[in-house]
Parts: sequence; C-alpha cells; structure tokens
Amino acid sequence: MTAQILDGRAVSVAILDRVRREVDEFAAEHGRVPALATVLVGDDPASRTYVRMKANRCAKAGIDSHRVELDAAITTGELVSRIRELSADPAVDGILLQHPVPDHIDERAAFEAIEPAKDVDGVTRASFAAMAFDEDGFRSATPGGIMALLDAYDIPLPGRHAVVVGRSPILGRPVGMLLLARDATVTYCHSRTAGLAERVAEADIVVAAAGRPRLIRGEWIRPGAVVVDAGYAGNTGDVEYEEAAERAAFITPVPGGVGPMTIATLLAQTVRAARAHQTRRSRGAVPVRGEAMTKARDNYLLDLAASRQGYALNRLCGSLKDEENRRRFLEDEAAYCDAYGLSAEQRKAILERDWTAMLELGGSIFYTFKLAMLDKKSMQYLGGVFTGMSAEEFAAAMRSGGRKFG
Amino acid sequence: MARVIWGLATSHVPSIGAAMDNGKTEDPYWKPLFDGYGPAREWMAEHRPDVAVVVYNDHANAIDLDLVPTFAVGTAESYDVADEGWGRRPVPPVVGAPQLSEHLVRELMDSSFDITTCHRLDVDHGLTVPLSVYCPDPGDAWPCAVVPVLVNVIQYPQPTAARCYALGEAIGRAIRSFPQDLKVAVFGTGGMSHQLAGARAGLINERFDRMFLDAIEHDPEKLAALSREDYIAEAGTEGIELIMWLVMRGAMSGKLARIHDTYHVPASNTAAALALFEDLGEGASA
Repeated sequence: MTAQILDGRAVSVAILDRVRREVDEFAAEHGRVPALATVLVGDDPASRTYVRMKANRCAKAGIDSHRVELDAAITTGELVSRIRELSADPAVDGILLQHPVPDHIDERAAFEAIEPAKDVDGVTRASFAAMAFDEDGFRSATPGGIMALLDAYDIPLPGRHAVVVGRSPILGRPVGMLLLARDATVTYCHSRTAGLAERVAEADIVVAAAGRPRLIRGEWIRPGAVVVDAGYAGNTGDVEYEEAAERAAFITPVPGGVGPMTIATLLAQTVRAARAHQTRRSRGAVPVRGEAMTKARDNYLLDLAASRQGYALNRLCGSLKDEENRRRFLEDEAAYCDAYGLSAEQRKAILERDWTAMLELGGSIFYTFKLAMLDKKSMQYLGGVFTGMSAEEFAAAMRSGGRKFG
Repeated sequence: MARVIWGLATSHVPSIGAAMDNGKTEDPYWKPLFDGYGPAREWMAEHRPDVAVVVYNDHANAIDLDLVPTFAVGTAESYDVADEGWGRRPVPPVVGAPQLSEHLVRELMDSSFDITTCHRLDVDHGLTVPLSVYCPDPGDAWPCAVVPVLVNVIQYPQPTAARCYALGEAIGRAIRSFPQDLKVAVFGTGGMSHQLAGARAGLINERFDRMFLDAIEHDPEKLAALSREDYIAEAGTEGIELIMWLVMRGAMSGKLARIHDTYHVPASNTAAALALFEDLGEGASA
C-alpha cells in the first residue's frame, strides 16, 4: 500500500480542541454555552447512532445538545411546526435534522423550516445558495468537512481535475461547488453517467459520494490521485479501499475519514451560529426569553377587544402621520405618551420599542409601523423582530420566496 | 350609458410606489416585477377609461379606529394624497367623479348596501399605488377621474368574501345604469398572500395565490365561499385584502377575457400580482 491516509479522526480532534477553546471563551463572555438541537424522526438504528455520536461530541466540546425525538408517524406539518418552534427558540443556536427522514415526510419542507441563521448542518436553500455564490453561510457539513480535510493535508486544488461521483443536494452537488470555488476543474458523475471508469481515471481528485458500496473500483484510480470516500454504508465506502490505496497518493479510510470531519464541521458551525446569534440578541433584534423583548404569537387579529385595548396606543402611533406631531414626539417621547393616556405597559412598550409587546397590547401593525418609520426601521426589520431574525436575514428569506407554513 | 371596459386586480404594496417614485424600477430587486407589468400597461394605455372605480382599504391614514366603515364610497370632487407618516408620494392629487359617486351610493343603498360616504378623504398608497401600476408617468394629472370605494380589511370582523363579491355585482349594475356615456375601469387592490406581524410574518403561500389568480377569472364563487378564517390561515393576516379583488370581479359582466397577469415574490414582504381582464360586455353575459 502506498497511499498516505487522510486521517479525518486526527484532524477532527484538532478541530474539536479549537471548538472547545472557542466554547470556553464564548461561555466566559456570555454566561452560557452554545446549544445545538438535534431532531430525530423515527427509530432507524443508524440514524439513532449518528445522533448519539453527535450528542457525545457536543458534550466533549462543551456544547449543550438538546435532543428532540419524534415518532415515525409524525406528519410533515407537525414536524415542520416543531422545527419552526426550535427556529424561533432563543435558547437554540443551531438545528440539525437527522436525515433521511421517513418516506412519507417531505424532507425539503422540513429542512426549510430551519431558520437559515441556525442551519449549522447547511441543508436549507438559503445555505445552498450562499455556498453556491461563495458567500458567507453555513456549509453542508460533510462537504465542509471534506474541504477542511483536504486543506489539513495541503492538497493543492487550483487547476486540478476533481471528479465528484454523486449529486445529492447535501453532499455531491455542494462538494463540487466548493471545489469549483477553489479553482478546481469539476466533473460531476452519477448513476446515469456513461463510462464512469474513464471519467474517474481522469481525476486528480476523486470524491465518492454516491452511497453505493464499492461502486468505484481501485483499478480506475489514476496513480497519484487523491481519493475522498464519503460513502457511509456500515463500514464500507463507495471505493474499493485496498485496491485504490495501492494507486492513490492520499486516501480517506472508512470509517475514520470523512465521518469525523462532518461532525467537527457541524460543531464548529454551531459555535459560529451562537456567536452570530448573540450579536443579534445584543442588537435587540432577537426576542430573548426572560429578557425585555416579548415573543410573538403566530397571528395578531385586530378584533374589537384588541381595538378597545389598543385604542390609545394606536391613536398615538396614528398621530405620527402629522409632521408637527412627529416633531413633538421626538422632542419628548415620555410626555407625548402621557398626553395620549397610554397604560403603563403600553408606555413602556413604546418607549422601549418592544414591537411585539405593542401587538400584545392591542397595537395594529399599520399604526405601529408609523412609529417604526419614524425610527427609520423597515417592515423587514419588524418582520425580523417578530421572527427572531435580523432585518437582513428576514429580507433574504423574503427574496428566497418568503416563509412557508403548513 | 356607462360601461365597464376592464377590471384590474393588483397588489398595492407601498414600496412598489416608492420604487417608482425613487427611480428604482430597473434595480435587480424590482425589475422582474415591473417587467411583468409591461404588457398590461401597454394594453391599458390603449384602452383609457374616463373613470376608475378603485376598491381599496385605508391604512390608518384617512380612517382611524374611531369610526370604521365596512364599505364606504368617496363622494368628493377631489382627494388629496395622504402623508402616511413619511411625507406625501410625489403624485398628482386625485380628481373625483362626484356625479358617478352619487349614483353609485344611491344604487347601492337601493341594493341593500348601506354605504358610508366620505366627503373628505386623503387617499393613501392603497389607492395611489394601483393608479401608478396603471399609469406610471401621470405628469401633472392622472389620466382618469376616480371613485374611491373603501373596504374595511384591517379590523376584525371584515366583511365576508361573499358580501364583497355581491357588492361588486351591485357596483357593476350601478355603473351600467349610469346615464352618461362613460368608460369605467374597476380596480380591485391588495394581496396577494402576506403577513406583516406575528411569528408568521413573512408568510407567502404561492399555491394559494396561484389558485386564486386562476379562480378569480373562472370560479369567483369558489373564492366567495371562503371564510375570513380561510383567508387569514392561507394568505396571512393581511392577505385577507384579496376579498377586494372579488369586488372588482363582481363588477364585471358575465363574459371577460384575461389580457395579462403576473406574479412575483417578493415586493417588500408581499407576494405581488397583477391580473387584467377585458370586460366583453352585457350581451356576452353568461
């Protein structure tokens, strides 16, 4: 055997050490540790094992893991709504939905219920788009881990021919794009590719991501190539290991290659998400449970009871359509509130700009929006406040087709 | 006699007006929406009405929560453009059609719609944005007079979709019984799916919107049968504005032809759409 081992286990240990230090710094600064919610649907033994491994690694890195286990018979709607709760939960920094989910569930709908700012496994459309455009965002964990592994061994990428076998939306497709972003020349192969052997034989770098054990024969590997095997059927990869290792310059073992890197990437991204989450909180964009800002209910209907309750508040906000009133409000907000006979809670909500509390106290968005505009805050900013996102994240969610429910 | 020549359904999102006012219609964010308007605008420019009956809702500008009329008709000779809290849109004042307003009010009363009348009404984006969708460059004056028809969609309970459709039918009959030889366009504004507040803020339901865009032509009764709870659940707390499209649809004669439609996400926080129908006239009534 000639190939050098791309030792994912060793590299991941180094990454996890770094994650552990970052978690300690985070905890010292913010008085809490990052939190990852793992969602497991059904009782597939392999999935259960993966989730348990991820939870164990979290514990070792000092990350709080919050396990959500759901019955296999759950509907797509119920799953989406549970994930959406986690997306809105200020105590959760990252969300992992273990896949595959049972066949009757619309996996894409479930993935899209993950708030992009918490998509540490990189499975949402928003994350895919950010990755495809080479912008900041969370990478799909396995492709991200593969790139980190190649980098750990200083494998040169620019100008080299990478052949990716497999085209799944969370593995094959993204890993090809990440390689492309690093100036590799990328060929995608898949189950319908004609002449797979010839294609693989042209590769400087082979990424096997088809999920078909021993699909890729060792004899196809060009001498001196780099072989990354992301296959995951039991302990067998997509590549004939022994034969390939005779020809390759570098090769990942299965297990101990790509797998540990996936988990390390997931945890590193969880810490990143927690930092960004904390920054949004400190800007006041995220309602934090037990702190000043109020958490929004699904819908606010301005019925007659709300209209009665919110009368003074809405009247005050409505008065801001008059330029002279805008000037007087800005001059002395508290005095202006007193003149409109607000309740103590309404007064506090206005002065502290607790936009959700205003709604809880009978405010109508069409009235409170006039106050927001006086503050130069957009409807996207308010949308972010109600949903626990920054204005930019909310606007991005709108640009990607809006938020889907049910 | 007056007749309805076309009906236009269009979203009235304020930022659509702001994009036009600030010369942003060629920006990548806005261009797809305005490109989608193109064919409808060309057709409407060749089919100018004398009066536009614009069915819309006020957004805390002319109407506050002291008095909330369910259905109201503007009866003034002119309507100022409202300052909604961030200055007036730089568009011309709106000229009324008081004789047609009077006729509509009387006919609607006789059809058992107990209408509120507005002699002074500052018109907000709910009315001016649809006018801009029709006519992007009005210069000093809009190319038609306007009768504003207001529907309460903000305070619960809003009128039912069925009642809005019936109001539209009564408006159509009233227009067609007006003794002047006027060409009238009817605008149904607002929608499509959107929700501004609450944890469901940002809701878009393209499946529902596409269904609605189709059924507004072929099966308005189906849309009229939906409850306000259906509208809120499917199209969002503000998506209930779509009931105002049914007023426009009700005012059309039995036979109509779809000239153009377009659908785009997002305009600000809203799924924006336009659907333009030519009214083929009474004789063609189904």
